[in-house]
Amino acid sequence: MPDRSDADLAAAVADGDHGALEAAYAGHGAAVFGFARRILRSAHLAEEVAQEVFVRFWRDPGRYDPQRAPLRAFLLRDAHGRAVDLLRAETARRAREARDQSLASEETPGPEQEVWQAVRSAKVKAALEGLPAAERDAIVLAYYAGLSYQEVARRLGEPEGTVKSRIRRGLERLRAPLLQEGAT
Amino acid sequence: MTDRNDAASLLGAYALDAVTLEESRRVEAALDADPGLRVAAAELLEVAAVLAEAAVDPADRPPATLWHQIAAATAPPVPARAPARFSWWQRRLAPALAATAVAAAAVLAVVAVRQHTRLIDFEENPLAAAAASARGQEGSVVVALTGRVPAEVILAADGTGYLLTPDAPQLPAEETYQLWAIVGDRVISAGILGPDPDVAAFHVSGKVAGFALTVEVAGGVVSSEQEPVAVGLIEA
Repeated sequence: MPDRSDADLAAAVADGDHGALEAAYAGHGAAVFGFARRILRSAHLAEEVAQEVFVRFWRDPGRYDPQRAPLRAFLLRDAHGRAVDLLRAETARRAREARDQSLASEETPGPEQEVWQAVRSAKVKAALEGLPAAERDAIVLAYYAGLSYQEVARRLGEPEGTVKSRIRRGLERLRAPLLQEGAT
Repeated sequence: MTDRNDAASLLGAYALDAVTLEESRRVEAALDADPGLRVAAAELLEVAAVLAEAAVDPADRPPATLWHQIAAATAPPVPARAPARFSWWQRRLAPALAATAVAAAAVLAVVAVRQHTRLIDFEENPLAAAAASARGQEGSVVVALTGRVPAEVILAADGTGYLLTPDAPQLPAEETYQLWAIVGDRVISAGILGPDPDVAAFHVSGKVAGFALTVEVAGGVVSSEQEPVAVGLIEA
């Protein structure tokens, strides 16, 4: 099984080969679950996300294009998107509850320190630390705390356009140290 | 701002899932139309993929039940989706059950649950643990199947189900238990369970009215002509 290429696995899943789905899960299930847990800080919600990611892959394997990205990256991106959806729903729910209790609190993501701890790779940490603080904060809050760029802007007290630019510039700046040296 | 410029300004946030659904759709429409933008997006997505990988801990282990839940939700359909030759179920068995077995089910369910808790090792059997977890979920239905081989089905709101048959006698290798679900006016196979299932997961779509368990030849059948060894209806 480990020798099957991503393209082979995806083709087999598209043919209804349940063993191929199991192989994909065996290769990436732990990463998908663990990543979702880091973002959501909840094992229960992470299970929900991981289940949804693999069920979606099974039901709609055409969403994955082996030419564009490795399967693992595709599954992790899917997990991130779903985790962020859950996080925002949860944040909105808490904000509603807070309003109901007259405890003005619109933004309830975890403290930056906790978010920062999601980064386990020393090389990625170093690359992020090498960015200007404003770019790093925008990226970390957007990606690991699951905030939209509008929420990041509110959190940092910056215009939305500025935050959009900082995120893009920061990602472009990370490309060299992360992708040329291989950093995980 | 042109569509392209709008999408270009959102590209970094898009790569990090930090845009709204509407913005994401706008970016994707622009990517479809602009190869240059696609290249730029692909480069940013590569960086995002490394950021994702950086948050993965090799020591992370999902619960053993996770794969079983996925397997149950993606179980290949058993080829019995067409209306089965089970019309006698609706004509004879189901009305009879409605009059008798359902009334008994509420009582038997309690007995069955207690028996199962005693007989199945919930710590050692991850499927049993998943079933136990499903039992407490909102929207789950517990159905006691009564008959020669008492059994219990726990059906979660998403269609994932668990059959517990701790008291089922082991069948010879050339036979198998098979679970059937009554969905609307159809009887469909919900799973071929083997000769000694103990606990099994399955998935059904649609509004399920009840379940039946039969003994079939190994490999299962598309439609059954056997008398069920256990049946149970879900109270409306």
